[in-house]
Amino acid sequence: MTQAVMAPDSQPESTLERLIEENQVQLKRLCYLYLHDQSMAEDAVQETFLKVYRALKDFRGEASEKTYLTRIAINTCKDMLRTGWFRHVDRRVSPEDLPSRQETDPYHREVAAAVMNLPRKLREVILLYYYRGLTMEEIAETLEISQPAVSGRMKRAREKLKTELKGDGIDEE
Amino acid sequence: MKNEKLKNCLDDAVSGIRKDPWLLRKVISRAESMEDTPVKKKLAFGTVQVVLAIILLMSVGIASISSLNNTDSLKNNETIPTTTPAFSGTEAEGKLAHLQIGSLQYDGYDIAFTTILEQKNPEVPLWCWVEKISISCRDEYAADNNDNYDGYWLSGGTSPYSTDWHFTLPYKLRGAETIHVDFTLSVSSPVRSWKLLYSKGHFPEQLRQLIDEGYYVIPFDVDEENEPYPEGYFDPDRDPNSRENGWGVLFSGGPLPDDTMGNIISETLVISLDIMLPDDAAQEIIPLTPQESYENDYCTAVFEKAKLTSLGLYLTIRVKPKEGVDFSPRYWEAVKGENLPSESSVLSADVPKTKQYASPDYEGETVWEFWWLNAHLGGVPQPDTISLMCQMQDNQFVWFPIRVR
Repeated sequence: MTQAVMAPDSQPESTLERLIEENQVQLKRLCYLYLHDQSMAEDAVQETFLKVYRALKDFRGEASEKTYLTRIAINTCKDMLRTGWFRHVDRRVSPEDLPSRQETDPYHREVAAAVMNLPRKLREVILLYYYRGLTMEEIAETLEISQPAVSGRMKRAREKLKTELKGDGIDEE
Repeated sequence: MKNEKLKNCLDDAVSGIRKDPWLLRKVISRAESMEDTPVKKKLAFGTVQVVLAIILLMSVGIASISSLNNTDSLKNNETIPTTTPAFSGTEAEGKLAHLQIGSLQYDGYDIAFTTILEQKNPEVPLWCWVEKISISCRDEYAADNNDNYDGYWLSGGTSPYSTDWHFTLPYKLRGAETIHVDFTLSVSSPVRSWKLLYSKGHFPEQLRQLIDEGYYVIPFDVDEENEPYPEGYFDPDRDPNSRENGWGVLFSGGPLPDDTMGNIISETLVISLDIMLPDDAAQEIIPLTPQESYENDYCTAVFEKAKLTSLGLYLTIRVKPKEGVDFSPRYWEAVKGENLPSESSVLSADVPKTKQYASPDYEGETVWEFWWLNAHLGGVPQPDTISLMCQMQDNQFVWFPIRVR
């Protein structure tokens, strides 16, 4: 399936509406999984779409929508984490803290908490690869690191998750 | 666990996060108002934050004084009184850096202070790691227990680096005359450093030669504004599956304590601070008066705390769901009046702190604690009412109004 490619836009409001409709929930969940805080995730997603909206008229049409939106969202989350206040708050997550429904599988909460408690640089490659479905090349482009760096972080993340989840890690696909 | 299984797993775990039907309106509204609003300055590495009400008192026993916070103004040019308690023991001097307390505030609940770090050798990057902060012998922060703490590099230069800290004073310490704070910071610096601006290529021979000459190689990355910042170190783990020549992986993190990467020196800086807590800490700037209780289709609720102090807005609400109702709000906001959240109605605030837990005293009830740093009721006219509001899963809004004054 060919991904939609962003192009310079003459009707930015309509495009924004479509992008929000198609991506809002997943981006909000991505930001929550990254930031550990629902309110911050709400702010991050709003900030992301604001940046996208302001750039729509001038966009040169080089990136795919998914990569473009993801890159802005992740960078927005990183900016929030760089503030002095946030840096020093312990954001470790327990499965019970997660915004789940009552019928959510408890094991799923455990896995999500394990992913969220990875060190940030390992967490981001796992989320981008497994949750957002980016390729290794797209992850490297999003995070502005080399592909070997992505592979290295992925390897360490899988090892940590395997330890955390007592042997049931994630397959190396 | 296969690819799609992990995605489905994560989606199920956070399935309470759903669509915001107002998001489009919020984004466009913000975009339209942004041209008139000054752009917030992003704090870069090495930039000194504006320190308000800095008073350094070196001797014990000086009575607390008041000072004025000149950030936000209230109606009729009212300024926000803050209390800076008297404190002593504010500096630590080492060979690599000088550490001092820049400012300190106490509002009767929370204590906030700023640390300022200056490098002695501006040509060499400095790795900083906060080991521990304890308040009257109770560990409020310990790096070993915080997997998400990365530490940070200062990239060199002469500008001091400041960091804000904030803690809720343990209940048993409120009412104490004095508290003692120990702040422990470790710093490490390469003896001879060499900065490498990030490149996607592999260059092992160059690295090995530099390291053999005693240099510590620190890779730099660039942020979205093309400003370089130190990234960490190269991992010498030679995994043939991940790289061709063994030196291409970048990891964020501190220096390795051996000769693999070149020579480094380390030291620990400790500030031991005695703070005399004043009796008349500015606790409330503007009185907030919640209702005795609230009732709506979803719940009954009571505010356990509603305070506006010099440090921000504190709201704690305890909620008992109506029978058969799953009280799981999608999000909460503090707003002026009983309005929907908009650019003008949401109380201006930096990053909020939130906490949710089962009430220890009332079975079946849930407590939400909110604290919005720097939330003030600026602007004319000052509202008669503010509200804590939430949006429920069925997209309906619920308000818990609080009278102002």
